[in-house]
Amino acid sequence: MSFRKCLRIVKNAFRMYGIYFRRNLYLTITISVSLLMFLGFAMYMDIELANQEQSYRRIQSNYIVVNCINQATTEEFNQLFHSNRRLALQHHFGSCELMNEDGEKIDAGCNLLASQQFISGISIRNGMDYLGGAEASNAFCYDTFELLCGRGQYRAANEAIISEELSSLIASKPEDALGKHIVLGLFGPTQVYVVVGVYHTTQTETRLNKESFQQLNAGINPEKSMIFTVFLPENALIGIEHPTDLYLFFQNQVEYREIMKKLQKYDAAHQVEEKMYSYRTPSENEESFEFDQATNTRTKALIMILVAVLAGISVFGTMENSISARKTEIGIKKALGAGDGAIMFEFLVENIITSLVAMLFSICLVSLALLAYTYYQRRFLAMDFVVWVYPSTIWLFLCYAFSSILGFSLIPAFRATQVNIIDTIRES
Amino acid sequence: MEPILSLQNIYKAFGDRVVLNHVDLLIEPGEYVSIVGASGAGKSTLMNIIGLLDQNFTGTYAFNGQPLSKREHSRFRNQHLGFIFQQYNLIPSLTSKENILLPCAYASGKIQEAEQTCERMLREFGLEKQKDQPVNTLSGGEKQRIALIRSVIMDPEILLADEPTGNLDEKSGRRVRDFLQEMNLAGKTIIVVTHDLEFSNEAERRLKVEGGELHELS
Repeated sequence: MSFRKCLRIVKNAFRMYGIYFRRNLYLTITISVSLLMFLGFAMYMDIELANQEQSYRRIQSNYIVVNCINQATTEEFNQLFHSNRRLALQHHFGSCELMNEDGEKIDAGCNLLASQQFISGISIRNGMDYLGGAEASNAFCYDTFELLCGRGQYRAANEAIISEELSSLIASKPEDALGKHIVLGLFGPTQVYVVVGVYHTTQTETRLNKESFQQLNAGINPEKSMIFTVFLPENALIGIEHPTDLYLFFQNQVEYREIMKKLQKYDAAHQVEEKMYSYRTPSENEESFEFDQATNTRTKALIMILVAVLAGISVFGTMENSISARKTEIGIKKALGAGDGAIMFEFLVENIITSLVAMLFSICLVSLALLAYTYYQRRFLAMDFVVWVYPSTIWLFLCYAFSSILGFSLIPAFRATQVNIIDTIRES
Repeated sequence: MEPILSLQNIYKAFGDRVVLNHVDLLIEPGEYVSIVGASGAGKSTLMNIIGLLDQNFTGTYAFNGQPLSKREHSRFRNQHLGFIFQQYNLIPSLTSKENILLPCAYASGKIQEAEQTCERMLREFGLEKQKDQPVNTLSGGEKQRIALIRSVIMDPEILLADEPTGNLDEKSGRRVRDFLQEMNLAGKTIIVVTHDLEFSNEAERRLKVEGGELHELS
């Protein structure tokens, strides 16, 4: 087939694509839905994994993850971590750098993922600001709140208001927030608190209810100190009702090794088959993440196959109808001298256009949805939300798109060449 | 003179029913041949075989003495045969001009020449205004004229017409017949299948399909 002939057939294919645009649009939508289904699932899984990876990466060194702490084991656990060690809470999404009232760094902290309800640290949402895990129902979170505020009495969470300037500082340059005054109406009358320590948490956001702030701003009494540092009492772990993971951080390798030795000693002493808790080191954690990543890829591949099968049935049905409806046209073209190659090429080009439009459409739609979701997560839920698409997704998508373009184009194009000229001319 | 088309020992059956029973047909260049016969006698089947639209037959088929392989069939139809169908067989969604130039999409070269011919013939047939209209908006007569132009756009040596006046009024039918006469005078070989005896009598050679055999009519 000469180049000019090819060009003419391609031009013809574009013309026919335009003519059968409506029918092609249905086909485009059908293919887009299949691609969207795969992309949607895959990207959601990737984002989940990316956020998980982020927390893994943040706690790259000097930490141990202790799993499945429950009420039955907390006592043992407390014994293991001697009584005068201070544990500090940190928000799930934040990094951990904690200070005490004197501005000294705390030597160990932990990231506690108690339950879905657990929220700690500072989180300011839509002007309904609160400190600590005020929404959490378990006792542990309750304690957190108490300590965060440096007071022994719990009050409503949404009474806490901080200034826009301060929240900006916390969000961008936390060290500059030290010594700043905050107007809070946490415990009765409005009072001014002084910041003596700041979490390095990405949860802090800049949105405020300015109206509330102005109302509260009237009675300033700068005598209280706000302590952002979190301490846990000795018996803090008593009362945890849900199995949980504790991420224990250590400022140095010496402490880390000490704890590791204790854990190993404990394990050796007990020799029980079914442990009430287990622990993971960074390398084990890395392995665990790699396993998660492999599972993610396998699941995506499985979804891809399922989607391909489901979509294939639907797309081939639509394409078959399209070929049937265009039998006469194909018959005429063949009668006028279009060879099987030319017919196949023309339909191939037409179907490739359809598939490419569908691919572009689904990528645009998923990207838009992703942007909106990211905006929602970051802006309204104030989350340090990571958007990341793993190479496996890109490869799988390319494989799927390529095979669907090829499959959804080649097979119908081949079917088109099988049209019998006599039958179609007789029918017409 | 070597026959332009040579069909030998052509056998075609639909199940048990033999339609063409080892038929021989030689067509000289520039001949005007009409094929007649009763309904179901097999004249359209013969026409489809002559036009290589039906390739499921046994026997030999040669063009200018050269047998054609199956791979050459579509190119042969495109370059050497022009078709005029009873139902016009135009693609409704395409414009008149696009329909006329459709065979050119599958040919190598000739496109510029064909476009000039198309414009000229549209003018001659009084269809210049309708050239950019989709053919489904045209009348039957206009469609037939488009089909006539399309049949000669590739300047084929042989024109095949299967009941070309079957759906037309007298005036339009006359135009088709005149067109075929004109083309024959221009040196093209014409093969027509028709029920119309008067039309068939215009051909210099008349054939009749009967009982699976082909007879020359005097």
